[in-house]
Amino acid sequence: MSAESEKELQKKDDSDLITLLQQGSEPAFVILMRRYKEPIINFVYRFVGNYDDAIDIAQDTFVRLHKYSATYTGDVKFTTWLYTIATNLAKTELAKSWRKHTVAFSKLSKEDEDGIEWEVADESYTPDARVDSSMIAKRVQTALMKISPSYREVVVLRDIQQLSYEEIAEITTLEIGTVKSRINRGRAQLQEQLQTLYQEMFEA
Amino acid sequence: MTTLFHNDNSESSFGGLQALGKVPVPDSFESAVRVKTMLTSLPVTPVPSGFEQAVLKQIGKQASHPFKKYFYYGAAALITTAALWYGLTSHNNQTNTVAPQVQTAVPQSSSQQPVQSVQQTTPKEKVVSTEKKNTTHKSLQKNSTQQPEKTKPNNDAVRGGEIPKHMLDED
Repeated sequence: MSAESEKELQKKDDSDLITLLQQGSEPAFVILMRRYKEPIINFVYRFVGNYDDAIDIAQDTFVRLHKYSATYTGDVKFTTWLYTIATNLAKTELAKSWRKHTVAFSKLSKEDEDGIEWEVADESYTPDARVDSSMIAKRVQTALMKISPSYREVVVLRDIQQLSYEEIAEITTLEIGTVKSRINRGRAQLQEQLQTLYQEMFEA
Repeated sequence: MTTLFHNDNSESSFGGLQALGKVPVPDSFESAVRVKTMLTSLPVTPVPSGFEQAVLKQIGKQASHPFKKYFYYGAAALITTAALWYGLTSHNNQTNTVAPQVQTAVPQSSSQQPVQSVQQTTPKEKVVSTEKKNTTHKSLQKNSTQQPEKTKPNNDAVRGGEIPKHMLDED
């Protein structure tokens, strides 16, 4: 892609780019990916809580965008459609990891019947440290991971990704009223989780 | 005529907008603001280098999927020729390398311990193994001269058993 054509494409809005992509323009896809890779990675990371998983999911999101671009009809905003793909993939990943953990902990004991010692993963090093280098960010992310996924999803979309209630309702296929109540409940759960952090920060 | 409003102080006497009263502030208001502040101040998750390339590579993989069949055919043909070439060249190498081993093994066995040395020493094993190689090579040669299209390596390659790793990586 030449520098001039790239500049021209960057000026175009999402709907023009997706139309070009539907016509087979690979540069249009690259521009869309560059435009939205950061917010998508950010959203997925805040939702699933693991950096490496978030990167995988974000990559799959863009692969699916490319693969199914022909199915985009323009009924909803492009970003809404993209977030829907990412949300669905993230939910699938969360369900998978939840099952994995459930099996692992139900079967796991320090020493099994044959006397073989299980090797427990060392969690002192996590890739997420690369993301949340500050103590506050780490604690907020930890608190986010403790609230219910259905609340976390909408809270992240609203308060971190700054999407409108209408957009969130379309992404999550919920009524706007339900979205609002989930956001409020999610925030309330988050407040409880962050109570001690507030005291340290604001009342010290 | 009675008027609805007094001229001097109509709003206060009627109540007006002041009658609406105060909108109650929820108890959780302040903490909600704190939550929002904290969430919005979270750092943006960094994008790893090579993210775009990884996506494009994945897309490339899926795009080439319909051509996999032809790829495997091509790979199979390549493997067949490689096997034949290997067979021919290894035959030349083996005739060169086997000869000295036989020459060194024979004097030891003939001069010192004729029976034991033949049975126990490692050179003999080596000789046997090279003979095996020669026989496999001969069978390959035989097949290649008689029925080249029915050689075993070709079939194995089509099944995907012997495709070199570097060729698979290209997919």
